[in-house]
Amino acid sequence: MQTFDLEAQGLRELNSTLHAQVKETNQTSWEVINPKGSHAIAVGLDAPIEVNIKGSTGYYCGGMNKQATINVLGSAGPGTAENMMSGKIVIDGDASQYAGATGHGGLLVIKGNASSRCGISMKGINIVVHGNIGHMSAFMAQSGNLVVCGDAGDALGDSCYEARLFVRGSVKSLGADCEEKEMRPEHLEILKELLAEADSDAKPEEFKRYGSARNLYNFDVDNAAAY
Amino acid sequence: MVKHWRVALDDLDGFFTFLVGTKDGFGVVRDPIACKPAVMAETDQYVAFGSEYRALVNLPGIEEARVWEPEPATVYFWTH
Repeated sequence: MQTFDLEAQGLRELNSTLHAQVKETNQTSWEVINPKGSHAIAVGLDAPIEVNIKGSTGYYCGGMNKQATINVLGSAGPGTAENMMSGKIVIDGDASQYAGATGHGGLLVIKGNASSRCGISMKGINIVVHGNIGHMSAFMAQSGNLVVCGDAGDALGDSCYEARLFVRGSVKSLGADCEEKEMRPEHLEILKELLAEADSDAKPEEFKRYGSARNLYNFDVDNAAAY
Repeated sequence: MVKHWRVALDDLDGFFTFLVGTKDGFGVVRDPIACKPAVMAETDQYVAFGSEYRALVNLPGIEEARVWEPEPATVYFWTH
């Protein structure tokens, strides 16, 4: 285990050290102390390493992640795991706005609540939130799975494409062109795997599925008000 | 104050976060879209506001504080 004191050694040093790790590294486990809400911690990683951040993080923690496992032992600021490609990021506490935005792959787990715009424009990432999510989540979500064990705020899935949205609790309102969909066996299987990987004891049968009604895919003047 | 802000939410357009301090209180309200960042920290001793958590990290007892984000179009007010 390598320990890195962010306050003493600085962000640039941390990220360049982590970027220097390659596939064959033998320094696979890292601990970051004194994060104190710093921005851009552990962004752009591309190695199968584990990074444990002992405290809360600021903007864009774990952005663009490939391969790495990042655990935040606190809460996370806006844009956490933005544009993640692969790997796994686990937030022990809450996540601020637009967690997992534009993510292409990997798994983001938020053990507390996520704020507004969680999974906005997601493109293949899987996101599991143990608590609630805020308004405008999964706006323009294109693919991947968003699993919410609690409640969803206003305008869930507004203008979404083919992402699958699973919510166990209530949905305050659905966004334009988002509707409740049939839960088929393959969806229960996806949920089962994601919940297990996210260490959640929720049951797949307790969820409802939401997705695109596909009415806004092509321009239709009768839908002008909804675009 | 709370009543005035509820009216203001209907009247105002655009993005805003208002903080108002009075003789014996402190309040926060955000617009209905709420994309401007806002973070609150609450303990038995104080209520603090910042645009991000990093601004609050040196407050006493921040590790034990309840840290949360104000809901959109919701009026919060605290008095001594």
